[in-house]
Amino acid sequence: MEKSTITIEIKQEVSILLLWIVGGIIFVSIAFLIPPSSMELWPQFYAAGVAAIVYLIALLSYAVRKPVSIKARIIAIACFVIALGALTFSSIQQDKQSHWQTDKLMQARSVIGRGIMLVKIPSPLLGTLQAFHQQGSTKKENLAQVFQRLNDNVSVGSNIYKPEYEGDVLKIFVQSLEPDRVELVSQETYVKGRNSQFKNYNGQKGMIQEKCILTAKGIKYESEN
Amino acid sequence: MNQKIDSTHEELSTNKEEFTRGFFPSLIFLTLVILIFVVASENHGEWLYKHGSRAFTSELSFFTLFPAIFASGNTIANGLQTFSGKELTPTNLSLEIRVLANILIIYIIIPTVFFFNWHRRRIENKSISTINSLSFSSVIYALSIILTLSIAVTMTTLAISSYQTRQSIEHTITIQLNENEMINDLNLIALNVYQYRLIPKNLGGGEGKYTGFVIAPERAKTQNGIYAVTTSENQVTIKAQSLLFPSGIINLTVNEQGQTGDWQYEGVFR
Repeated sequence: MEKSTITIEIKQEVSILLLWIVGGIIFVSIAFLIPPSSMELWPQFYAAGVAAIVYLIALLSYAVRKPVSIKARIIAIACFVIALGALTFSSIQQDKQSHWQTDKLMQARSVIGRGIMLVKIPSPLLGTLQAFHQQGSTKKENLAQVFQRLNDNVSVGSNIYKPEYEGDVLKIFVQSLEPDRVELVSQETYVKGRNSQFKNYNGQKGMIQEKCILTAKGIKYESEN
Repeated sequence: MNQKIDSTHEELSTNKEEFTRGFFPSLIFLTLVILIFVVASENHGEWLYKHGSRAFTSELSFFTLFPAIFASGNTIANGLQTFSGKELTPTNLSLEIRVLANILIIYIIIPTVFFFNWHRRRIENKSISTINSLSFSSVIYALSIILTLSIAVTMTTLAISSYQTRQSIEHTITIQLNENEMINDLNLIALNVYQYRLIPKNLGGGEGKYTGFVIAPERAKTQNGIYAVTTSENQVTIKAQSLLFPSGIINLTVNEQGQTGDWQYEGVFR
């Protein structure tokens, strides 16, 4: 065997190897670029993943070609199937888990938001209720008057909530002021509620909204959306 | 082709030198490559931060054996952005390049090098243990075996562990959500309790006392838990038991000013 022939053989093999790599890179890169750019990376990942699987199957078919023994082929294919199955399964698990965690994060956010509203909205109304009934059986002021007296003479549409810390975005609006009825409403501006078609106080659609109605009989708490 | 390779092998085997001529440069080259990978994996964030790049600020390493982690991290980062009320923006180019680069390295380059070497060695009927001439291709082959096996093992273990982790996280988060929902239910009951105290008897209230308060049926049992109250003149004790996790119990009191206190958590809520 001439040394030059060996060199040519090796060069040929390296050339084929490089051809496969370059081909694979181009194939997978094109697949990666097909899905339009979005907030998520999963569409690109899956597109590239499918292309990579196709490439790997082709590569495996090429690698196990004759004269590789049947035993070696079976072992290689079995290992490949296990690794590929594990890859697919774990990727889908990661996808599901990350989306599930994100959903739960927003669910937690909505529970926290509702919890804060539940504590903050009734607070001025409880003070009004107490002052109203402390007048005794003969009332000098109606509910609206008591409420206005205790809350800087606010009117319908006013935000009566004073932020308690920097970044406190909660707002509590006076929705209705009638002699025997006071309504306060509070809403989230980016946390979705139960009904996506619900029309919020500020004109948005589908956000969480909670409401308290004060009458002489007490406070009625309504989770509107 | 086989005959040529066999002949080559015979010729090469007559050379009794343990190290071929290109071995030491190859070893140095590979060591440098590995070092660069390690340094890049460990310190790339800090290094890029110092050099003013805002593109690579993620805590994830540049190189990972499991590229799905990038997509997963991006989804969770989006979730946190939404949680904070910030606007979502499309994924940046640098992150996309990182994902693509990792996919290409893990699923294209390493397996291709491995399978080509594997095929050649199968034909030559050589295993890794028979490598006694440490040539460049032998080192590359050994490296590709290590990386390919690492990827396969990582995938398999991740497939098992990610499922278990998911179950565990789901369980923990479900408990936490149930607890938070029950706290909201309890605050609503506490509100009803206090307003009962403020309302005169002719309107169905307690007129300055908690005694006589009865929890409304729709509040006594919700989808989250069951609730019971014990009243005295100036204090109410509320006991809640989770419906989803019966060992989860919350106890609290409402004082004469309507303030809640003495929150006690038992079972899974502890």
